[in-house]
Amino acid sequence: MNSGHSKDYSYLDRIRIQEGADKCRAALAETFRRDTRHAAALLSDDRLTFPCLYILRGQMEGLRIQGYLNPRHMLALQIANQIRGSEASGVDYLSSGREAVYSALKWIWETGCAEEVAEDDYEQILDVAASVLINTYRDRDILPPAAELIFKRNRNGRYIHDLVWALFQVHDPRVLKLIAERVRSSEPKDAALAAELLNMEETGVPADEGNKEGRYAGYLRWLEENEPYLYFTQESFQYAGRPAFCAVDLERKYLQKGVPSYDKQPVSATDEDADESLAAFKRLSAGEQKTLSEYSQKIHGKSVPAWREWLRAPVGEQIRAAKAGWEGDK
Amino acid sequence: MIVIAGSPFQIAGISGGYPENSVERQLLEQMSQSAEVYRYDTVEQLEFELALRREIVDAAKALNRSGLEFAVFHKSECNQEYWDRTSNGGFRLKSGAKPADAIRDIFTNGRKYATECATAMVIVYYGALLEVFSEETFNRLFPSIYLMNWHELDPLLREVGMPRRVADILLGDRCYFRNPEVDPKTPELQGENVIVLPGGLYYGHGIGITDADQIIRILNANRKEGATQSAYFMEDTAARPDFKRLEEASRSRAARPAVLSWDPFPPPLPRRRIRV
Repeated sequence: MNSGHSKDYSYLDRIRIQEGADKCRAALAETFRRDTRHAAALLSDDRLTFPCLYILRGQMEGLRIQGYLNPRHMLALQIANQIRGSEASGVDYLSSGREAVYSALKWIWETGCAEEVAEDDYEQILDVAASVLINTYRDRDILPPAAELIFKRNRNGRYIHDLVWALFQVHDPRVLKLIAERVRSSEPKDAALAAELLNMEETGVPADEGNKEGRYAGYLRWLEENEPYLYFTQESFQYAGRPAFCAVDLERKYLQKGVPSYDKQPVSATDEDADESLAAFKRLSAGEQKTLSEYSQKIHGKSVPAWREWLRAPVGEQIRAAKAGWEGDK
Repeated sequence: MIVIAGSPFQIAGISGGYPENSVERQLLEQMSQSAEVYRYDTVEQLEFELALRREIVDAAKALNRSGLEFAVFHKSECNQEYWDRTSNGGFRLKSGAKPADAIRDIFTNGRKYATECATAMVIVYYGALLEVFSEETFNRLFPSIYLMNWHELDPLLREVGMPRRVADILLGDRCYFRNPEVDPKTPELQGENVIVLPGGLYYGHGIGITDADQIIRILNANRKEGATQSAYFMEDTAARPDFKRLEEASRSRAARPAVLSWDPFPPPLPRRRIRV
């Protein structure tokens, strides 16, 4: 948040930004003491941000003025309290899928992620807001700021695992492209995290520290080549230390049968010959499967009739042809 | 099938040394009857794995009794006498604290700690190693400990964060129940890490010691509205420590295990303390 744009902020936000949270709380208390209606108006100001509401929550409870909040801010406060575990009513404000809930969550997210309060409760509220916006409301607009927040938190050593999980729940390669942008970051922590999240070791893109742009371009080429066969695995940091968030379905790549959903779906061959080939392919080692699927992609791109002929050959011959083909390229 | 130094191994030679129905006996029987080949260089390697698996099972039960609370990383807690809570919710061994004392404190003062299921698994492994190694060896091998799910695992334990396809699920394995349609409000219930215990039971932190049906019921009760897909046990994957490397490390006098330093002399006689 830039204080140079302070004219866009509410009165309470301006004090918070310029003088700090304590002064902001004091200003609210003083205003309330002198003019309750005015205090209520300050809290219902449409320009108020979630960080301001968050730091004033204790003050509002103490002064018992939550009832003066406008509906959006009231609901946002209830949602925040529910996530923090301090909502005693037992009402699930997040479950209904109502438009008002979406509006409150979107406000929490949009005004909240621009300047995070480095507190666990605050971060948890944003994590859950992002998760519900992505999973329940299918909001894709929050993907870029969510990716940005992950890298920002990572630079500061803050918790990112739930936000990463929420981002990959989208099952959309746009997420990979957003992360790939950070491969070329001048900040080493960004580049390292991006490489980890993209599982770049598996893509075969050389890890040339001195050529970040080349690495980025190499990843995009890999993504373009493999996107038709890409699926999201549901792995997460809760499951593994180095989760593979997405992977290439080598059987589909081998048969050149893409799928638009980015979920793992069983593949079947189109004719008897290919069916035999697929059965044999499944028995190969992971390395051989990778070699064959990459070669399949290569010759399919050059000549579909030649690819069909290659696919009808016994798998042993396919491997020999693939090795000879790659050697020929060298 | 168990193969030692390239030859099939008859378990009768050592199984009598373990009580009936013990974890070790069950492991020996399952491994020897499996179509999978379990290879070891020496009988001692096999015995070490049996002992460590038994201790993993016991440590899981002990941690369940410890009073360790469940909390998401944003709300994690630790005893600051031994640990510093990091800004991402992990626990880092306090400077000057003895690793063995710090790990033991989690088991004895569990109520002073709160974390989620994956970190609890790592604590189980450290607790088990503390029983298998002497305290001196443990402190030497793990001079700095960081507890935060599978993040920044000690090189000697990195495999526990790497689930792999396995032919058999064995006692002491770390397995996973996945909840593919979890409620987005509770991402911590996207799955449950568990330690496999005897009698068809599992230890999962936050859920306790129970069977697969109950774990699936709990996860299913925390799915998103309209969910149709049930939580399930991932029955063909498990994570296991590299038992052989740990066994080798226990024999090394170096500050770090032999895999990280070269010792030009024959290794000393085993100094590990295995309760059999």
